[in-house]
Amino acid sequence: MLFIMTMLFYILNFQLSYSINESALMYRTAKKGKLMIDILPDKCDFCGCCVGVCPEDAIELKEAEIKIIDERCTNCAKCVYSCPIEVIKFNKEGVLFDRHVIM
Amino acid sequence: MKNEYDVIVVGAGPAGSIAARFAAQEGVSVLMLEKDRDVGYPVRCAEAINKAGVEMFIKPDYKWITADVTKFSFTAPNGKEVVLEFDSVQGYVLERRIFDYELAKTAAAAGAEIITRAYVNGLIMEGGKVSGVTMEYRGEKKEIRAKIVIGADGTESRVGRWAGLQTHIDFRDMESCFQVTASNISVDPNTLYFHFGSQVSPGGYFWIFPKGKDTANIGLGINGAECKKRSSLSYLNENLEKLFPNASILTQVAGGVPCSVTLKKISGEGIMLVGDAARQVNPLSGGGIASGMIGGSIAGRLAGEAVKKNNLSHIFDYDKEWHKERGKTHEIFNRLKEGIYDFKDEDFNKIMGKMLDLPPEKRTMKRLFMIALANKPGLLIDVAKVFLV
Repeated sequence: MLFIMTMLFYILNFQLSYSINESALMYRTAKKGKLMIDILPDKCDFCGCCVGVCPEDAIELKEAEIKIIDERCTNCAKCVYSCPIEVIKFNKEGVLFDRHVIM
Repeated sequence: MKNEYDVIVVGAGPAGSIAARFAAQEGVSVLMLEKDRDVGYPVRCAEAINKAGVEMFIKPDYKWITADVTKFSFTAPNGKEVVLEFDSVQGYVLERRIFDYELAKTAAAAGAEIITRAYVNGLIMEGGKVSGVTMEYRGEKKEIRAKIVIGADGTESRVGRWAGLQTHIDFRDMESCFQVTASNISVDPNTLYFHFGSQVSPGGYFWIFPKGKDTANIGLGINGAECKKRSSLSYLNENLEKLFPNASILTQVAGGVPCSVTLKKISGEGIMLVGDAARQVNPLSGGGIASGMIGGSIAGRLAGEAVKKNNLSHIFDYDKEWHKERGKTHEIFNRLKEGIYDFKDEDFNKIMGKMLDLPPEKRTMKRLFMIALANKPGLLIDVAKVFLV
């Protein structure tokens, strides 16, 4: 019994860390010491608020897909502030923060 | 779908559909492209509109009208409520997923071709002139040429940007909104409710727009500067918990409403912008269906005429015509918005208190703004200009 539970624990644990790695792949590689922005696409409502305030046209939005165009984004954070449901976060060296935390 | 049209409309909301209809009525070939799978869905809108705004373009039909509006209710932060009552129907709360559909059908009846799930991702530019769009459709990249492209792509307004127009607005002018459609609540089906206050909806308002006596669109918009501190979603959750703890949520939707004056330039070489994309929203109320349709009708007609006359510079008249028709009024509304922008809770309490001191027959929209802006005399003339009663 204990053995099965231990096995189960390992399997679950393995899968958990795997999925974290997987989702980490979606994030932009934050340069060392630099504050970048990131969208959590799986929580996004695709309303276009961020696209409307982006001065660089750096956000691409389809029916249910959203991504930041890396070359254009200047990390000005206007999109972070306008998002009604806070799915655009600050990304500091790969760790995500809410907007109030940074302020 | 052909490879070439006279006019391409990007986006099939009310502004796009009306633009497509009016262009098609001039007898030119029109294609309207919608990125989503359905015309009219998802609904990013509180769905209230004034009566005249609808009747200008389509015969009112209870297939897509869920409530007749005869009353407005304003609630101050201290809970005091002022109700303005009218003898006749002032406006409607729509069912946009049907309304948009019906509007698109009128465009189709006028001869416009419509395609959904067509994602426009760029423009064909030739010598500084827009001469078509590039898009993805059913997994294929396509190029379709057009003499004139009308951007009706909503808040995002990327089409105009690709054409070189300045379309992005400051995040302080972008009302960040969240709305639910809730059932199992009790509301008066003919009243539009507005709540104000820093605890409820700072730099905006909290609305309850009924769709029958037990269902309503409940949402709020807060301006970008406030949103920086806290999201609209968190305010809405709090308000719902307080006012409608037993509500069942039928839909949830986020959205941005551009509450500014119209863009400086809404036409260019081969390009026109309509609706939210041109920032044609009434900046005081945040209502954009009626004004978007007016913008669409002007743009569509001019585009059709331009093609017919074989004189594409005819579309540059659009800026002027829009300014005469609605743009000027929106500038006044924007000044009024700026006037009440920094109101504190005490200000709202005082205004509602003064309104309640008046006999009910003297409580009008004009009086409300007269009281609100009493110490900004420069704006009183503006109030008199836009509110007749």
